[in-house]
Amino acid sequence: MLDKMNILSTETFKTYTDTNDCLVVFFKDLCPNCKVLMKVLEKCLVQHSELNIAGVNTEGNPDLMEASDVSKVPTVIVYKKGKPVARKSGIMNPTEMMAFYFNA
Amino acid sequence: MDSDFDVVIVGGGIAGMTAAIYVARANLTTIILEKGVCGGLANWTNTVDNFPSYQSVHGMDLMQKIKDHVESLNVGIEEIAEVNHLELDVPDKIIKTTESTYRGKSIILATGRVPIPLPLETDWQDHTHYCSICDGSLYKGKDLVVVGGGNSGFDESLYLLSLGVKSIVLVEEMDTCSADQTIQEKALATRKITCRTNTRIREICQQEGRGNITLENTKSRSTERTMADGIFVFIGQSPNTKFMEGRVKLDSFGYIITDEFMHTDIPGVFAAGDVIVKRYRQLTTAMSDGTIAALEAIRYVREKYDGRDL
Repeated sequence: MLDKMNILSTETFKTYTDTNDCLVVFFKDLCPNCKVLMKVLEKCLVQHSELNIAGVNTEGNPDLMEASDVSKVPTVIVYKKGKPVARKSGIMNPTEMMAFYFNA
Repeated sequence: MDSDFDVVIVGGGIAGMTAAIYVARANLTTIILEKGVCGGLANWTNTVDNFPSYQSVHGMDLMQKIKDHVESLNVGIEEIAEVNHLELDVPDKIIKTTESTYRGKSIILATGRVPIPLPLETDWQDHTHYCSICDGSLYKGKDLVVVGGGNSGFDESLYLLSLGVKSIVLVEEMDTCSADQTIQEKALATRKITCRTNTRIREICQQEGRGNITLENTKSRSTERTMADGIFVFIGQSPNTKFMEGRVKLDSFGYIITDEFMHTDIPGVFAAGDVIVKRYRQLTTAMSDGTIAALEAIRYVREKYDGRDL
């Protein structure tokens, strides 16, 4: 698990995404691709410590998955000004991840 | 971090990690460069039942224990380190990743294999999966198609059923499934898995959130349709050697050709694990390869640079 990751729940999701431009990662503990993506995000934070990264553990939050129309993990959704502006499932490398976020 | 090493290991699966343990214990310097995270394909395995010392263990747990062992020996591990350039036919091998350059007196290539994607263009990608541990639980009470009649296809189908999946149509393009007979019988005995051999997916159309899947008989060319909520694909793996093409001798399928001592065609360059040409690809055989490759790399470095035998 990433140290600097805000874990979101049904109660906190909307407030957090409304008030922060951020990357929200839908993950699962035993998902190997999620483990890779967390490491990618760790590298991204080294270069861009200002990034807001949040996570939704899908195992305890099926309602958030459904509300966000997520059908596989990991899925990353970029929120800007309270709106989901980009989404991608699967693995990205750090360069792709940063381009994905900053271009969204 | 020092970028000059006695042995640079490319790939952090079980072969690479085993090699690192041997090299470190021989008091040579080494580093593992891993494209993703250490553990390789075993991280994708829900249950490992054939690893001596564990009757049953989760693949990711097993790999973490091995990684802990490697780290206890102060071996450097660089994860998310994708190698994009190799110079192998020089005395000090040069390995470049997107972030750094490394030099090794010797190199062990243990990059493993990657899953083969479904060979079909479809806009149903969100419901096409390669990891039942990751995505299986989303399909509780739903109907699935599983592609691939090998051990993975049957093992993963049983795992998906254990998560509460309602039914599975398992399709295999060949006329028989290659999975062990015992696991085939176990799967079919559930009566929730039906197996179609000589069958491939020809088309997937979205229909009211589900997949309307056209299955084609590869012999008669007749077709049938089945509705499913998702597809899981287990049609094997291909060697992760694209970046080595033209650098080291590969066979026509892209696997690295080695001799029995894990030597490639280039002095000082060794290979180990699933990425080499061989018949049996198991965790235990990958460990064996990693051991041999490490001992040969140690011998190579000592003979060439220290004038000493192992």
